[in-house]
Amino acid sequence: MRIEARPLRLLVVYAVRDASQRRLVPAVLVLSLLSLFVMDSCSSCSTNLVVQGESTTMDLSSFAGVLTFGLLSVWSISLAGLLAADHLREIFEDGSAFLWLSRPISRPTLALGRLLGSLIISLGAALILCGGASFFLSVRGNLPLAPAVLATLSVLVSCTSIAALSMLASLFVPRVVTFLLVFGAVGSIAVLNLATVGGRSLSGLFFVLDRFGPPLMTAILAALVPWWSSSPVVIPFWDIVIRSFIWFFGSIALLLIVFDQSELSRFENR
Amino acid sequence: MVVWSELEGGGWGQGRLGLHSMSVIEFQEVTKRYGSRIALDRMTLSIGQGGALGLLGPNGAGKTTALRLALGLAHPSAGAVRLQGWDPLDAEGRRGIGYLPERLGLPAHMQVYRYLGLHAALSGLSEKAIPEEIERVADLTGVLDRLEDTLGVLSKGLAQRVGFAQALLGEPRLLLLDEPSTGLDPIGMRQARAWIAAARERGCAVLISSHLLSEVERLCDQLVILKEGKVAAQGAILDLVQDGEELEDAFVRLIGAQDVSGGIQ
Repeated sequence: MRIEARPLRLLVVYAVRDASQRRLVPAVLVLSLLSLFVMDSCSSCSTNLVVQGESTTMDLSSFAGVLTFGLLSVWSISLAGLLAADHLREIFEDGSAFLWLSRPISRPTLALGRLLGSLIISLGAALILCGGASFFLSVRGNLPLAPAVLATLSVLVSCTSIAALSMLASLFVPRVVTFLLVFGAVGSIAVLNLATVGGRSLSGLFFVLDRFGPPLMTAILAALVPWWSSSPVVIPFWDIVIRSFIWFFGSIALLLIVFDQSELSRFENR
Repeated sequence: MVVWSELEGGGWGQGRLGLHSMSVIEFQEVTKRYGSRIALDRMTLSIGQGGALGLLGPNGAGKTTALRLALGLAHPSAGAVRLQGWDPLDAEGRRGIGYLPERLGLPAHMQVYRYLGLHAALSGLSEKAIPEEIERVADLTGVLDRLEDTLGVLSKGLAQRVGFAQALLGEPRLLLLDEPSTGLDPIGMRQARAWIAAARERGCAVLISSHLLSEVERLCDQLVILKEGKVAAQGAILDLVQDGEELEDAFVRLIGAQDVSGGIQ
């Protein structure tokens, strides 16, 4: 499998510019910034409660911090999947993929170019959301910043895996189904991860998804342990790192290999 | 008889696989099946430098399938396709190829200049050579004064001219044209024939898929007539057309159409 550097750079730039001109990038950017404003307001809220005349300060920052970060992460990962679901598929729908591939560029170069193009947008949005959340929660909630940086990194890795898998699925199933798959997979894995970290034991398919699927929420919770627990929590760090990287490289490799070997005319006019 | 020989590279499908003949493109007993349907059945053809071959046939005859196979977009179920001696799946085989698809899929928001620039760069032209080459093909195809326009505002005819411009970038060694007259007015069609003839004069091979018999007759010296995926007739136009016949008559006779009157007496 060969990836050519110059065509790859050209295709990535084209993919981002194309998305910008179709107002996709501005839309994602505006949504991300709006979310930050909401977060700015929420993190400014006072947690002072007056009960029967007595003023009490509640320590909500750690719980609210993990909850906020978790929700934004799930949204960022889903967004990465949703954006990628269209990025490769659309060039088959309008027929331009066949013209690109009449040039001396390999199929993996085209697929990687489209993936990276969509990732620049979605990772940018994830960085704004998670980076902004980390900043506000750290400054206003006095939470340490380092765990948030690690958690943001894990979100970026998860975004990439889900984007690659979504792009792969988009070649074989209709757009709506890909969207549902992204929401369904990200949502269910996040909930299962949350349940396991919360001490629930799972069985059957749920166990398999949680144990061997991409550790979307487990990785975030593991990184944010200093935010939500003062006592040591046993989350197998290396297991998460290894699984994250297997899914990261495995999903990209799978996309490139399947695209390289596929009968491309089957993707036309669906 | 064609004898395949390995010139360089590791094996079948890797590296360059040449032919003893000087074919730019070659189909050797190529069959393409989609499930149980045979889209193309044991087609053999070859085009040398400066040669032009027309693929004719009714809708669904297998013309577009043949072009897809030539570009490696579809895989042959049997037989082999070679593009400049390479497996079409290998990007190297597609160097120096100009392709004009029936459906261009032009990005509506993109400027003509940027579009041609992108294709020139993807073709492998150096950054330095690109502006001059864009000007050359734009001038040739009559879109020089539209380079600043976005593709979405172009008429169908102008869009087709831009399609020709991208196909002619870098003086290709092989032109693959799928219904090249689409959207062109009679003057545009005549000009397109001149561009193709000029390309042939400098040694470019041409493979045209078209419904227009007159167009193919004027541009090509070899024909492959397809019917339901099978080669109904193949050879030099002069050999296929009998005395007193037009190409249209020969076409109808060769595809064995029983009733082409459409009920009109």
